[in-house]
Amino acid sequence: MKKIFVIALMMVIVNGVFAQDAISKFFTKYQTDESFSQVTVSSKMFNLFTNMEVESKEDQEVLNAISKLKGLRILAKENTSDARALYKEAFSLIPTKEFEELMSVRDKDKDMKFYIKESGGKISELVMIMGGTDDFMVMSLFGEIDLKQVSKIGKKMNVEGLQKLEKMDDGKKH
Amino acid sequence: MKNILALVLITASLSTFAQSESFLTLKEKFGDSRNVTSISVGGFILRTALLISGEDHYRDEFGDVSNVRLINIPIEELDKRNLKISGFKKVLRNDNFEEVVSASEDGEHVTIYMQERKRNKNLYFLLIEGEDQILAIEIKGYLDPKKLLETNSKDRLTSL
Repeated sequence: MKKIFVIALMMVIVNGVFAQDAISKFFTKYQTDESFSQVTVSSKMFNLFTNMEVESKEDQEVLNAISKLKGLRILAKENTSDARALYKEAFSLIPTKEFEELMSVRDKDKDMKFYIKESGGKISELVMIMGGTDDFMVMSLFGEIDLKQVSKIGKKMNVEGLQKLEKMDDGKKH
Repeated sequence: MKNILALVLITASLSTFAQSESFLTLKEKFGDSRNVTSISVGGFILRTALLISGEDHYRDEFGDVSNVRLINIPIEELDKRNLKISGFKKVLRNDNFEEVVSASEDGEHVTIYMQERKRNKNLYFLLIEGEDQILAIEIKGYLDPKKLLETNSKDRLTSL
């Protein structure tokens, strides 16, 4: 009985570790590949936005939402023939037990999928995967995420890639 | 005359205090090498230089900057001294610099660190790692975080 319990516990731990690290593994795999462009934003940067002066209550709400973010990672590759293959690879690595598909957008020659990870009633991670004819991008935004503000965050921070979050507003309208 | 001399000495000593330990470390280790270039400019001169060189669009970013120091170190100088940039990044962390944003493209890696101080006299440290040289820039003053982010990430990722 003890043996079964120990084995079961180890399986839970191992599966948990692998499931959590699926997207991290993708980033780790390609982070030293110079054909990829990367951007990493720390929580410190998000905290800096809280000290900015704002003109409207709406802007203040966006800044409050930004202040709760813990990090952002973007990995992208342009002018590549393996964009679709990368898209499929990233897509296949999403641990479906932990992430839920939020939205799927087809935009001219690009496919985009948005996934969220929820815990304790709060969204702790938003992943976007985009694959085009010759462009690929994967983005992971984590912290305490307010979906209502996410597209505005993209506009406010004006980070290339994060602006794709505006598609979430377009997607909701369809 | 005495008062002017006292003022110059005080300003010089204040400038020295304004340097971070990290920048001082680089200067101490590499400052005596012929291949290493080190420059220090005040905010006014920097903004004037940007205006003259036609880089006006960067003037806004440097509106509240009081001082900029930079040092350019060829990789061979690090190799000669058996030093690695990862070691210097530990120096930065020990010197209370926090990583704010990093970006990589085409073999070039840029990291921005920040040491928050009072009265918007923050210290920013930009570390630009190229194939054959390292450029370290220390900026004292206040930089708009949105512009920091825009300048760093927009140049790294063209519109997809």
